[in-house]
Amino acid sequence: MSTQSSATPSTPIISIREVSVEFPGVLALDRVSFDISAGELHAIVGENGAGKSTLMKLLSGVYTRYDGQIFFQAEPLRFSSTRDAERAGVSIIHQELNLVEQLSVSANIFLGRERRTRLGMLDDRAMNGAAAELLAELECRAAPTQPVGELRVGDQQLVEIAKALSLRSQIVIMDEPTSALTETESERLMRIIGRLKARGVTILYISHKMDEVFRLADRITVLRDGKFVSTVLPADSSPRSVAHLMVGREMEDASAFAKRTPGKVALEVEGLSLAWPGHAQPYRLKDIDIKVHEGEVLGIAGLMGAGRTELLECLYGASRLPPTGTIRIAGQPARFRHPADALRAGVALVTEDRKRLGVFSQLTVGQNITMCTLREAARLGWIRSKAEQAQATGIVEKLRVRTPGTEESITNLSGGNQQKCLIGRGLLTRPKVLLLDDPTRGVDVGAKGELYRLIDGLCREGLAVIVTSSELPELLTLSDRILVLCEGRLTGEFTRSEATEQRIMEAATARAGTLPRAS
Amino acid sequence: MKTTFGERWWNRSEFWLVLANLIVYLVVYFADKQHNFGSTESLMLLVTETTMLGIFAIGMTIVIISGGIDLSVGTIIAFSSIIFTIVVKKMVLPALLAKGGVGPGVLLTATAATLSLALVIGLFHATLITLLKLPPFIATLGTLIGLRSLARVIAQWQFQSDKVSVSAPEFRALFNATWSFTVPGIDLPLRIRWVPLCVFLVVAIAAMILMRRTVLGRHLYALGGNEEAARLSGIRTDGLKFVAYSIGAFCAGLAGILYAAREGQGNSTNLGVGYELNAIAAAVVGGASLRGGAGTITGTILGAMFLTLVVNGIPHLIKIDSTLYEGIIVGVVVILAVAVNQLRTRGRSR
Repeated sequence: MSTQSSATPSTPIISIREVSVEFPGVLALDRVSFDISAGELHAIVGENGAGKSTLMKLLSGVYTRYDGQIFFQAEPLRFSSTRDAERAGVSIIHQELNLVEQLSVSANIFLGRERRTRLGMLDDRAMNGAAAELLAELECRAAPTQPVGELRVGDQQLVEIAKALSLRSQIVIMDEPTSALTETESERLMRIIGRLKARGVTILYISHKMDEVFRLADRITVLRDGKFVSTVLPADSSPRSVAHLMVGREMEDASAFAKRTPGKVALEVEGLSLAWPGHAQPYRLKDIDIKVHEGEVLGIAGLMGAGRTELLECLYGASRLPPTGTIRIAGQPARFRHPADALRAGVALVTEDRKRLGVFSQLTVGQNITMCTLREAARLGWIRSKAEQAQATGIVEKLRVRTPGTEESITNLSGGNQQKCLIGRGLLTRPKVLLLDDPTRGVDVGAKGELYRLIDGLCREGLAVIVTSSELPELLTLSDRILVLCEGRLTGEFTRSEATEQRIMEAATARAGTLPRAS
Repeated sequence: MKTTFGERWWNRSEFWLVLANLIVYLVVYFADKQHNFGSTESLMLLVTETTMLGIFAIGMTIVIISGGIDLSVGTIIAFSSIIFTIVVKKMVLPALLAKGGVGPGVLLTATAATLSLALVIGLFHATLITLLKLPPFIATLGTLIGLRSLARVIAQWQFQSDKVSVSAPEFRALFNATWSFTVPGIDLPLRIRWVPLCVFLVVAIAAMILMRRTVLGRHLYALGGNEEAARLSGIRTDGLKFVAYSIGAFCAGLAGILYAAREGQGNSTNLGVGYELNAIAAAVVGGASLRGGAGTITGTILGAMFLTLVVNGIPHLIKIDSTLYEGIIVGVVVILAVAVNQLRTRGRSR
């Protein structure tokens, strides 16, 4: 749009200097420095885990521990809370909205800054009136007295924006604001963003949708692996080159994992759809066709919210709603109502969120490993300790789990070793198809390589593996084929030789249907 | 099950509970000038009360380990006492009731009927929790309030009274039958009420085997520890809840039968009031976590013993108006016991 305003960068409203943030085991931001000019719309792009959200949380006072300095209007500032940030004129519209669903729209807008009558009571009339004005300005038809939980996501977002306006924020941070919006809601948001800019509000806009970024942004900053890559002007750049800047990483040596020979079809999916009631996008998954062969690793790529986890859940009978379409395991039609059905049919899942969905923190390593197959080690419901022990030690040895013993508490193991236990839990069920949902999340680099070799080995034994990952190099290393999901649809399919990070990224950021299926 | 290999015996909460029990006992024993706490009568009372509390506290522990809570225990005790006495009275001619008409057949039938109804209550709880997705607290709170009233309605309808009394000696013997014996080397004659003790032992051993040695027990720990992970491990979590709440209600039903025999009557109004809280206290003192997934049957038994020792010890220490202070002391001691346990295990595996 208007690139002139930024061609002569006026005084920076925010200067980020050598900012680093370290989480246990990960450098989320690594000496990032750049400037944001007053009144511009500055887009920040990068892959999952590039550090975008971390940076925004620093600027809005959610995270308070970092090295380096942040200047607001040339003043060095350090927020100790989100309140501080609000006072300094910074508001953030989170990806997961921060609203109290039971409270009314106006109560949410004025939460923590309630207006009072002279008697110290809540002045609902004043707040409702002010809220109504703000909402009208934002083309939002919600009533100030309506509970926020009743609103659609798009309107809830406007309530957050109304809150930012009522704070008279100079800087508004939007974290993937259109990810849950319909086309018309997105259009309305674009108009509102235009109006905010006209008022002189500086907007930091996080997105991975290239069309939006190029339509709105005055400048685009690319982050990768926690590092600043470059700030470009949309006029001098193209979606393609920005996508290239986002991924340009060195690949690991994939040659060791190539040359596997797939066998018969192990799992076949036709026309799989999963409804998403009450959402702007009425489906989580739409018309998915998949084939996986024995001895093949199929990678599923896609950005956050593309439907990777939902897809695996459908294949495992774990989705809350039953999917439509057909699933065949080794040619046999299968309809799973419960994960138990899937396990019996030879499908095992290793979940994405290890701590929440996988590990039993109060149980031992051995008990965690044998959880799915305890019945096989029992006679008439009575656990035979030796048989259970044999299952557990078998896995510990085969997968080289580093633990003092099977009686050790699982929480004393490192992330990578816990993950091996969970993969082992699945392997004990002797699956034909193994589903791995982001198996190396939260696993350190050394353990990653080990897990890759483990997956490769299993595959060579004839197992069909479907793996998702938020890291593209990982998928490229592991997979014989890669399917790309975008907003619940398949938008690309690449063989190992065709797949490049850039092509996958393009397919993953394409609006569904705008890109023809490659391959 | 919670105990891991690396844990030493002095790190186990059971060890500390045994120690706490010993200390409470010895303190009361030596502080009381008459040394009544060591008398035959006093010991019989301690054992009986521990076993009675133990029976339904074990049921509660299994529910708590599975990640739930059962607030209806005290009410089920009252309800069962009414059902049990009504069935007995209906089966025996009134003329025979006072003199020997209550045979083992009658008692067994009444027991079977009472326990079946208790199971139905447990299944009802599980249905509310799994099908209607009610929180366990609410589902069993409804029964806590409603079932006592239902017991009253049934008693009024059958015998026009809130209480249904059966004074037949065979009936009372269900609780009161004692067995005297001496242990070589100890002068003190010992006496126990063997029926509640035997019921308790059977329940305790069955529960220990269930929770330590069976697939079902392991799955109950898994359900309480991480319900979603349990479901994703292919465990039928809804079915497990039926098992847990049935066991909880069944144990309360057993206790209700014994209380009816103790009182010589079914009592819909003031029997078992607040007993669910005693059971929760025993479980929690014994190391169970109200968040589920942790706890042991042994711990709960020791917890029940601890509570009984404290409650029974108070009148030996405070000779005047001891009931006035009982609540304060028990409350403080329960909080202390749990707090000490928390501090001790802090930083170790949870």
